[in-house]
Amino acid sequence: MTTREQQLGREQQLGREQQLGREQQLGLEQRLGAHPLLAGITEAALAEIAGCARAVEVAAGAFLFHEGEAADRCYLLYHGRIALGASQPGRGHLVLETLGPGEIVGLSWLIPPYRFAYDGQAMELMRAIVLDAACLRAKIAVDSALCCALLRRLVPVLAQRLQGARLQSLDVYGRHR
Amino acid sequence: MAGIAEPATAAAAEDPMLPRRGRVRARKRELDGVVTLEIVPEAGFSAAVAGQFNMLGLPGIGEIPISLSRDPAQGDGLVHTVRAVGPVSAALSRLTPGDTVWLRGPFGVGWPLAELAGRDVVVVSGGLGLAPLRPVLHRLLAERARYGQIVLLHGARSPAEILYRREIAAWRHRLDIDIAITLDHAGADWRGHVGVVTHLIPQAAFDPHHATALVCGPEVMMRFAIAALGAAGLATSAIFLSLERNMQCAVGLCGHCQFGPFFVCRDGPVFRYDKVAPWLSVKEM
Repeated sequence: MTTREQQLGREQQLGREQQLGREQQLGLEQRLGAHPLLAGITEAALAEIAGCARAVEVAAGAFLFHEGEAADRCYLLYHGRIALGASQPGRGHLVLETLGPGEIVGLSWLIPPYRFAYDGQAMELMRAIVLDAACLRAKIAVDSALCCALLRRLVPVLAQRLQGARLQSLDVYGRHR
Repeated sequence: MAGIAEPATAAAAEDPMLPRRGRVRARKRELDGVVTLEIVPEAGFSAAVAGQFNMLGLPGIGEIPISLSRDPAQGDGLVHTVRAVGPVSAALSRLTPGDTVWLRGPFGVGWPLAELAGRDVVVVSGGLGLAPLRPVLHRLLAERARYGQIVLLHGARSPAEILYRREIAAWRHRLDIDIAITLDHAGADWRGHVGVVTHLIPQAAFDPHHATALVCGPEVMMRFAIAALGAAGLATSAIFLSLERNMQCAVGLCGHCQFGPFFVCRDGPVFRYDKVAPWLSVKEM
């Protein structure tokens, strides 16, 4: 094989890899766009978010993160369920909330000091898109449209979870006269 | 209510204020402090529909309203699930087979079973609120082909406080009803949902434009559930709820259960949401 042929082969290989990378990126964008949290978001915003994203698969029982760890990521679930929990001496591991397909897991990346508040454990095989928090934070710091688009979607989630936690704290199913 | 009078004979039974004798046929412990009683009324006691209630009384102690918790079509006995929270309910929950209990009823407006035909039915219950809805589920499952999707979303306090656990497990095996249970508190060994029951609504499979929701549970839970059902696309006229108030006479005379322009005992306890919405947010009503 001549040097010219080798060079052509390398270029073809590089082209295939670039094509594969573009297809994977496109697949990631499509998957992101199909996630309920990002419904209706602009293509430009989706492309920016996809730049911080990768697909992950987590085995049943594995921990996604632990309380106190750096919240350097969040997960957009599209398969399986996870349990948010905390350990209490004498009571073992308590489950505070479970989350499933279509939901976001991990909101601590939004708020300093960017530490996970709970443990996150996959209850079954979990498939998700994980977003790199440092990447996202850097982008929203300079892109107000992206920041606004994300916050408009995340604030209702925060509000819903706050309402849920308050309702749970009322112990409405307890024995009250 | 003060202790009820010794009942009159069956000759006066048409008077809704006069109790009639019933005999406890069976007692089943459901949870801590919760029992289900099957009561055989004396002949001539009127048939009830799902969602209605009877006044169950014990002489010298009092009487309280308890909803039917089994489809009347499933047997001749009246089935009521009772949680011991006060003197009357505590005394009722101590009854054993053969004991006498005094009955008035059935009273009130039940669930709109006839309106459910051909529609998806979303049953949302919390805690003991599953009891008044269980007869509906019995009927829906007995006549399964008449309905679209059937969804049961139930919230409970903990794994040990899931009402009718075995029956729910049996329903799950049918595969023609979608069931999701969520708990307020759970340990790591619980494999189901944890969180509020309203959280299950967006994930449930039903067509909001052809669905009717039946809701029963603590009132604050019902308010949040109704908001979530509305957000899911259900019209306010497609949501029914069962209210609980201080019902004493059970026939709309004493006024204890007045709720805006309604008496819960007579006009309810099942109401279409849009009819009562203005009064649900009024505190202490």
